[in-house]
Amino acid sequence: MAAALSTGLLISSGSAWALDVVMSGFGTVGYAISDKPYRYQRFIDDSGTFKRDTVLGAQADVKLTSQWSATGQVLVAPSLGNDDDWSLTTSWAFVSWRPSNDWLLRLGKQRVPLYLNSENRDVGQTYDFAQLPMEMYSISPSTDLTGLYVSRTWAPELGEVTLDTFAGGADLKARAYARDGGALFLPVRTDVIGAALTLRQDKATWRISYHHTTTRLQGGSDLPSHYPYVSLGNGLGYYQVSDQQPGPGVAYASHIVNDVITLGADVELLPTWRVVSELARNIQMRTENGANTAGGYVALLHKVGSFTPYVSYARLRSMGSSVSVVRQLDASVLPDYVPGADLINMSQRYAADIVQVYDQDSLALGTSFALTPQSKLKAEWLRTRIGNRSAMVDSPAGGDVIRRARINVLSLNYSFAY
Amino acid sequence: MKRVKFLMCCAGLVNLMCLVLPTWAGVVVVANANVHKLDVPTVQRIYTGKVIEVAGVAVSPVNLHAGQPARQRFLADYLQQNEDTYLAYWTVRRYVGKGVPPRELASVADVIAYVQSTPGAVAYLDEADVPASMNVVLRK
Repeated sequence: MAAALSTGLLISSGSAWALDVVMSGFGTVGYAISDKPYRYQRFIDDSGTFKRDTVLGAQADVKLTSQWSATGQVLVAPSLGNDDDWSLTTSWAFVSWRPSNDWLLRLGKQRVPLYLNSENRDVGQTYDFAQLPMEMYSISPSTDLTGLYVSRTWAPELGEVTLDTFAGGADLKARAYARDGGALFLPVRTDVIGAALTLRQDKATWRISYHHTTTRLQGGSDLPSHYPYVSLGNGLGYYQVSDQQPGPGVAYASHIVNDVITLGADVELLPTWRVVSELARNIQMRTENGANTAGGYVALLHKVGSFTPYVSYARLRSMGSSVSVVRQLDASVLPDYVPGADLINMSQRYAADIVQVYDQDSLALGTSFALTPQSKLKAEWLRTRIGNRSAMVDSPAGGDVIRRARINVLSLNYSFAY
Repeated sequence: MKRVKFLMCCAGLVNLMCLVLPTWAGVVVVANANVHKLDVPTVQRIYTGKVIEVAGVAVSPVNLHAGQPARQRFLADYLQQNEDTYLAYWTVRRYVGKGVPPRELASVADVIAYVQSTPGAVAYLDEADVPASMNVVLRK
């Protein structure tokens, strides 16, 4: 740690009010290229990109007393509000109070433990994957939350048990992509309440978590929750996706509700072999048009000196009504002789595209190489199989939705943390 | 008779090793006068940030800079870790928002001065460097 960029600034010492400021930094410079002309995971196509994985961050930890501290973290990363810009954001800004060994309370902007690597997700140096499997780590566009976090720890014979509970909210941009309209970033407000139970043993970490989220559009508008079918007779008809179109009216919901349950395990099977797996079930309610998914991955890692090669398999699949809604919207095409058919067909297609439906699995082969204890070089080959469709693929304008496709992605990353 | 010769040879070998090899003093855990005796699990939890108070006393652990022999022996003997694993542990802990590693001091003299002047201070030293007045709270 002596060689680290971290510096300690001792304002005063020798009393209960000693103030320490510790600065630290981290980052990843990552390049990824695929064998397809259309974009996958927002940025990757056959032109290559630095935007999927590259991130730079700085963190300040201020110890106010033995019980009170404050933490701030800023990030430079591709914007979550559009696909073109980079943005500087405050990812953490919280005050911590640790009244005893076993209790920790935090108030402010922080991250919730939705995944095993939620909080340290941007710090690539802390894990071996070139990219954490998106089939798991795309459940939410962000795990940031501004609110209260209470953690209680026990230390039985079994290991260290931690119960994290949290409640708060976040203003996010939910990205959708339509062939005819390009990327759409819906400003939403998400309120979260949840808990995560983690058992840490010498050779294993186990976690189960539950998150109850309520999402509404910022600005007070309602979200479309059901598109009624309008029959024109003679077997013709369409789905009314806008109140500007004739029909009984689109049904709306003031908010949608998601219950997300995750399971995670990181287990050392043998001294140099680890298996890591996470599973998530995202149950969406109050709308037919949402991301109702089941996903997860399993990975095997083997440490050989400075190398840690790994293989992982991940799967993400939508379930329930959203799959049939998209299929019906896709299949509903009015013939040209019906007045206004072009506009109706286009609007149905647009509505289908922006529903977050997933059907994909991925196989990844990669390795990390520890250049130093504080930096890693990583390389990965990822092969993704798209089934019926996937909201992670930006299907080209004017064409059909990408389905039954295989996308190969090569990634090379350099990550560091000081 | 053969057995006596063998034992004498062993004793001579040990004496020779003592002359040739450097003396490795044990590392002991020291603390401010207001800290009571500690056990190994508690020291482990102090140096991994899991304990901030012991018997009602807020503790302030310090490390020597990375690479110093006493630090390496402390990590190995008391924490069953090495520099890399200890650094990796604290890198993750820092970036999950659970705190920062103990402050690092450059020299034995700095450690002694800090421990003697700071209530709750906990540190480690080569036994040979420990002043007579220092509060030794754990010796392995």
